[in-house]
Amino acid sequence: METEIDRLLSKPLVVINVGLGKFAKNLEEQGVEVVQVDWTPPAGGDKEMIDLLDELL
Amino acid sequence: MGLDCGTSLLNGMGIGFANVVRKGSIGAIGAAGTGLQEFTSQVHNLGFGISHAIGTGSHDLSDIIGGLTAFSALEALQKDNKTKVVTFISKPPGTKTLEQLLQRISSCDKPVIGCFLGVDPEAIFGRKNLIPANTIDEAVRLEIYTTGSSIQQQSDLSQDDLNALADERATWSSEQKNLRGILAGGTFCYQSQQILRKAGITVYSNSPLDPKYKLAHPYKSIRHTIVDIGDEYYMVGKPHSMIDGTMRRRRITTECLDLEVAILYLDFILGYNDSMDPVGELIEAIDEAKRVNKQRGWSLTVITSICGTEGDPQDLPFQAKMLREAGVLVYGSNVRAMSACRWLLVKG
Repeated sequence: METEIDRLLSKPLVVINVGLGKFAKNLEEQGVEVVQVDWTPPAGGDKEMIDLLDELL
Repeated sequence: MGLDCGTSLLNGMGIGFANVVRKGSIGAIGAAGTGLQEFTSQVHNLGFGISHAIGTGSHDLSDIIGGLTAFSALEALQKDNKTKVVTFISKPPGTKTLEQLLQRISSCDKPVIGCFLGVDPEAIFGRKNLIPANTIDEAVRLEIYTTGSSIQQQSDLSQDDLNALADERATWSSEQKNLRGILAGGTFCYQSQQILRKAGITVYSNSPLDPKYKLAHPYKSIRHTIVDIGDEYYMVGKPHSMIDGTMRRRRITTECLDLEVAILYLDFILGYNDSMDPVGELIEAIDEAKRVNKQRGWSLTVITSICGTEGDPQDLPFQAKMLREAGVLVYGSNVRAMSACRWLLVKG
């Protein structure tokens, strides 16, 4: 009987990305269909980290 | 992919932190993200390929979770026609879960290599259908042998390596004696401790193999210390060290204030989604650390390992060149870098 994981390995991937947009972009560049969830991690009020996250996101 | 699972390669597609590797017949299951990257990169660099590499998250083989993803992954790779052999790469697993996994492996109709870091291979030697490996490098070698091929894998230090290490050791002061490893890869933190422990060298860590060597404070190193700077303790609300080098830069600067530090060990991890210039982010801090020691009249030995392939977007040869031009010793795997550290600490 074919299981979920069998289907995962044998059929084209469709990925839901909950995280940095570049994770989705890298998959798209490999030809993978991706759904990007609108999500932003908290910086905890740290100015340096806010700047870093702005850069990363 | 769930919490703390950072990497997979499915049908050649890299998900999360993954390297650019060719397709082939070698399957892998990793309860160790950077361990899986190191394994797949080395397989590629030796001319072989990966069918699928399934990351489970490093806690999957804990007794609380019981290997939920690992058992499914083994089932899938057993059925997959492209996969001829399977390797497990794992951070220290739960005792009960490891036993259940070994029983499952015994009924697998494909050969299985097991690199369970922190577990004495002698303790699992002789288990049906399992070939135990001490290290990731050894797992790569065994996996390729199992496919019927042979390889020239550089596992020992060459005479040139030994000469370079002896030159470094000769420039230390009489006070310099300690190793400080600041690692982005959690798997490398465990594997490094395991290699040094086998040589009788005690290492303290925020993620120790033996709980009695846990650092009292994760920001304060003592004697020989290797930290996993990607651990949640350091990373809450911050980008992981594989993406951003800020935390490692700060730690390099702190470690160099300690006059007893002789060796600084750093890992660099390439691949999709990792920092596009991991060496460039740290090179000024490395230069400064070496300069400060030179001003004191002696030198700091900087040992590094690079995990990745020439297909990765960061340009592996250029990353290595930057390090060599800064007077840094560069090795192609964590195991080889640890062989160098061990030689410096034991024989130097």
